[in-house]
Amino acid sequence: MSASDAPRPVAAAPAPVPLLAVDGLVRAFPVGRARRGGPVLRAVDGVSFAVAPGETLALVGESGAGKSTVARLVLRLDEPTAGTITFAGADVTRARGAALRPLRRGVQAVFQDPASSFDPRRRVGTSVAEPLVAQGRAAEVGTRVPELLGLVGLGPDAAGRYPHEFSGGQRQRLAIARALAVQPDLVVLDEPVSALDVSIQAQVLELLADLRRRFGLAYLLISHDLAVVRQVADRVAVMERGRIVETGPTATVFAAPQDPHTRALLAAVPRLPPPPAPLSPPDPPSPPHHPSM
Amino acid sequence: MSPATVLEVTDLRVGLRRGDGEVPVLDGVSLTVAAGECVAVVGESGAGKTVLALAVVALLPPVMRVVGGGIRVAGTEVVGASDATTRALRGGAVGMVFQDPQASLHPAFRVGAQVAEAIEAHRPEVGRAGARAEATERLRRVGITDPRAFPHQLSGGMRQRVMLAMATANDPPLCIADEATSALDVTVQAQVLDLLASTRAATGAGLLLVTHDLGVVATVADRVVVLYAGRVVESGPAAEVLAAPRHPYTQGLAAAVPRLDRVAPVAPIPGQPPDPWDRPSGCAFRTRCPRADARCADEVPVLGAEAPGLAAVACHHPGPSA
Repeated sequence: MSASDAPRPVAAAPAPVPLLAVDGLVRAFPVGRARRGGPVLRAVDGVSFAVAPGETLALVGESGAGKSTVARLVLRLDEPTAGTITFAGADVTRARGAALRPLRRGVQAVFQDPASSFDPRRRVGTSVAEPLVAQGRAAEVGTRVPELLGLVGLGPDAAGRYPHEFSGGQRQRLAIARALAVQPDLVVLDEPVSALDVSIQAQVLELLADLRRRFGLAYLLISHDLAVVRQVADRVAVMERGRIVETGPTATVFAAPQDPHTRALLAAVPRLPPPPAPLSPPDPPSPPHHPSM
Repeated sequence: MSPATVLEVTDLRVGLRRGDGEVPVLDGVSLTVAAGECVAVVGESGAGKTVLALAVVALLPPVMRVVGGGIRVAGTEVVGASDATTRALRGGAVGMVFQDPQASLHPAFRVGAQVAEAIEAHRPEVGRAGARAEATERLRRVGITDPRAFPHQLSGGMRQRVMLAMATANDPPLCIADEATSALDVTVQAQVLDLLASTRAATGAGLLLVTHDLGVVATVADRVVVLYAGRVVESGPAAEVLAAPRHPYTQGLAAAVPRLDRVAPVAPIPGQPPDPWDRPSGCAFRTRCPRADARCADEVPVLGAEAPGLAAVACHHPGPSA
C-alpha cells in the first residue's frame, strides 16, 4: 500500500538506506456512536519521515498532535490504517510472529513515566533481563544485566531491588538499561525526561548522549520540550493535527521557523535570562578556598 | 507585619514522623508575599516546596506537623488555628491551584456548579441562584463559556482555567499555585500564566508560585526563594537571582536547564538531593558542591544579604559561577 498521494513535506533522507522509514502513515480512530462508516479522527494523517543509522530525529508538537501515536505505530503497538513502516530495509507494517522479531530486537523504547513502566512486584534485574529472555537469549542474563546496570551508572546490587526503592531518575536509567539489553539500533524515546527534575533531567540527557556516541544508536525522540530537542536532535519534525508541518535540521528550524505553528511553539517557551554576564558588582572577598568548578 | 503583606512565614519548621523520632523536612524557612506580588519557590523534588504550600493551608499529611515558627495569612495565624479557622481560610483567604486539575475537580459535577459551591461555601449570603450566576461570569472571565460542561469534556488547559476560576472565586488576598502549569503544553502554559498574571493584576492578590521550572520563574515571578533539603539557600529579586545566582546550588539548577537559543551541553548537578533522614551535617548541599570544604561540614551557613533588598544567600563560599 503506497501513500504517494499523501502530501508530505520534503523529508531530507540523509543516508541512502534509512534505518527506519515511514511512508504515508495514517491512523484513524472512529469517533461518535456510529462505529462503522461513521466519522473518524485521523490522529496521524499521512506522516512520512526517515531516520538514518545513528541519527536523532525529534517529533515535536502539542498534546494531541499525534506524536505518541506515531511512536506506538513505529513500535507496532498499534496498527496503522494506511501507510508503510520499513525497518532496516524490510517492510514490517503487517509483520507477525517471526517476521516481527528483527523489529522487536532492533527497536526498543523508553517512556515518560518510569514509575509505571516497571512491574512493582518484580525485582528490577528481572525486568531489565526481560528483552533478552524474549529474544531467546536467557543464557546471557547473568553477564549482561550487571553490565547494563553499569552502563547507566548503577551498581550490580541494583538488580535485586524493587522499583519503589529507586528515585525517578534512577528508574529512568533502569528503563534505558532495559532498552539497551538486546543491542537495539533505534530507541524510541517518548518524553523521556519530562517527568524528571531539571538537575536529574540533565543527568539522563547526558547519559543518552553518551550511549548514542558509544553504540551508534539512533533515537526517535518524542517531546514537547523544545529546549531538550534543541540540545539532542539532529533533525526535527513539527507535528500539528496528525501531520508534519515542518521538518529540517534542528538548528535551521529553530533559527528560522517557516510554519506559523512552529513559530507559536517556539514563542511560548518560558526562557531564562542570558547566562551570568559580568553585570553584578565585584564580589566581596571570598574565603581563600575557592576551587573552580 | 505591614498591611500589604498577605503571607508571612517565619522560621517555619516542619517535622516528618519516622520510626520513634522526627526528622525535619522544613528547617527554619522564612518568606513573605506582598499584595500583588508573585514569589516563586523553586527546588528539586523533595526540597520541601509542596510541604511549604500545604503548611500554609494547614493541609499537611498526618505524618508531618509544624514543630516551630509561624504562618500568617492576611493577618490570621495558621499554626495552631482551629479547624473552623483553617476551613474558612481554604478557598476563602487562600485560593489554591494544584498540578493535576483532573484530580482536583469532581468528575460527576458540572464545572459551573463546582465554582458556585466554592462561592456559596464562603459567602452563603449570595444565595444559590446568585452563586450560579456569579460562577458563570467568573468562568466566562477565564474563557470558559459553557458552565454546564463536565470536567472530562474539557482539555487540560481548560480544566486548569476552571481551577483558577474556583481558586479566585472569593477574590482571595493570597493564591497558591503548586506546579499549576507543569503538566500543560508550552502554548497552553503560556495562556494560563498570562491568565494568572491578569487575575493578579485585577484583584491585587499575592501569588505563591511553587515550580521547578526556572523559565516560568523568569517569566512571571517578582522574587524567588530557592529551597534545598528544607532550607532556603538563596532568595531575592527573580531577575537578579536568575541572571547572577550566587549559591552553587542555584547556579547548578540554572546550568542544568537546556537552552533554546543555542546548543550548549547541559551540566547536571552530580548526585541526588538527600533524604530528610539522611541530611548531611552543616550545609546540606556540600555533598554535591564543588566548593565544599571542612567548614561546610561543621557549620550551617546562615542566610544573609549584603544589603537590604539584595539577594540573600546561605553559603560559606558564595559568588559567581566559575
